[in-house]
Amino acid sequence: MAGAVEIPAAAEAIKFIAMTPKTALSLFGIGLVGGVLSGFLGSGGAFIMTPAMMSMGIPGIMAVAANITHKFGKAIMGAKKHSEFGNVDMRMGLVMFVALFAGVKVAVSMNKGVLEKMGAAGSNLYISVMFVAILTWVSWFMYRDIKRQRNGAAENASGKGSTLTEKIRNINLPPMVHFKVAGVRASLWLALLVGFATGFLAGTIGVGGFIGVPAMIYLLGIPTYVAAGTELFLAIFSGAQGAFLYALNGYVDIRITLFLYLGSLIGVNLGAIGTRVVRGSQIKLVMVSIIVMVALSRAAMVPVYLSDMGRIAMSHSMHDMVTLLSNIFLYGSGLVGVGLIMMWILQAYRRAEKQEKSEVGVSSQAAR
Amino acid sequence: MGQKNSQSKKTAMLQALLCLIGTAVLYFIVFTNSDQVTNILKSKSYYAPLTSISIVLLASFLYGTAVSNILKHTLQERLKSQELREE
Repeated sequence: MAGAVEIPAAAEAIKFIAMTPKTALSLFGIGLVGGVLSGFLGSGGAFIMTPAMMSMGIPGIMAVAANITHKFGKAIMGAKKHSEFGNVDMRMGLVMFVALFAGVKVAVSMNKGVLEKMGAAGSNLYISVMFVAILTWVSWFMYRDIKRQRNGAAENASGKGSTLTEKIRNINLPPMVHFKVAGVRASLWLALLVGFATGFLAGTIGVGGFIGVPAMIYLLGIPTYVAAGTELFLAIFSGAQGAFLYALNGYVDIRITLFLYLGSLIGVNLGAIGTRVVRGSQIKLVMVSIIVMVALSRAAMVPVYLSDMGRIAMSHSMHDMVTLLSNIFLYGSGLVGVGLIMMWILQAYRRAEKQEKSEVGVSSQAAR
Repeated sequence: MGQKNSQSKKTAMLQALLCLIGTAVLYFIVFTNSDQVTNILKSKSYYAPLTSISIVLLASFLYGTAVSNILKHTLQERLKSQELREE
């Protein structure tokens, strides 16, 4: 395995890290966690993967490039798995990917511009700020939805249940398209808007699913597990385009991508199988738990990147302490999410075992 | 029927084994030639995306098929009775 290869000149962010066994094992672990979340939530592996790679010392833009390149292949295999389960609405995916292409293109240009103008620390800061802003908004939105669901019966009874998302969902702006697998009829323009937003986020921070999946659920009204499957199908296109553009700009370290695959392709299959044994509300619970913790993790890193840029003064000990705090939130979110998913799979496994035993008991009694 | 299932399981596992061998070969080739591969990827020419996307597609297909086949005939089969389809 090759050591670190540094590219001199202007592109200071391009730094190919040394691939030690520890690095390889960390990438395997990051891939596994990201894969489970991705298979279960449709996307969202990059919630953890991009910042986790950044915490390992991989420059932000290269972490995004590695993640989006790896996402391309992972999405193909994940969508194939979800498709076996009838979780992929290809019509919705195809409608959305047109707008998604434009979104990725805009985001990659913006990322490149930020890197050229502000350097590596500025690029890291930009990606972190985007993470915090978007994750905070999504978590607040989902928190309100959960709260509303709790009070759902009372609100519906009093006729106050109509929210902004429901009003948006009911917009009948022609042409209207019927999405058969998802079982919904929605405005083409709305689907295109969701696609653009997903592509923009995929290109900016290497992930689009955490906006794409909630948008599909809340704005287009499709079932959670179909949103997860369709998002993975959509991720094939954003992944392909992102992988192409980042590679063309020389930001892809294929060794990182290959080590990510070792974990993530196991994870994506486990996650997809997991969606078969849980309810839609459980998928949402995992998503919101992770979003809140990752937002806290990235928020903690903002002063560190500002200090790296020389904008604020921070002592070394404070720098290390804040980084540690950020890592605790970050890896904690992965552990919480994957822990919940694996716990539910294990519980289903035990139930299946118990059921099988009781069926064997009944048939042996009948034989007597 | 049972014989057919067992046959398909055998075929799937054999395919998984072949794919795992293919994955190992691919990884060996990439990592023993990582300097050359890295140089291509740094070139900022159309060879860079062509190389990275080819490797990515091959790796995900080979390793993904292997993992999917193994899990399909182990964990997924085991959990079949516990499947839910409610929102």
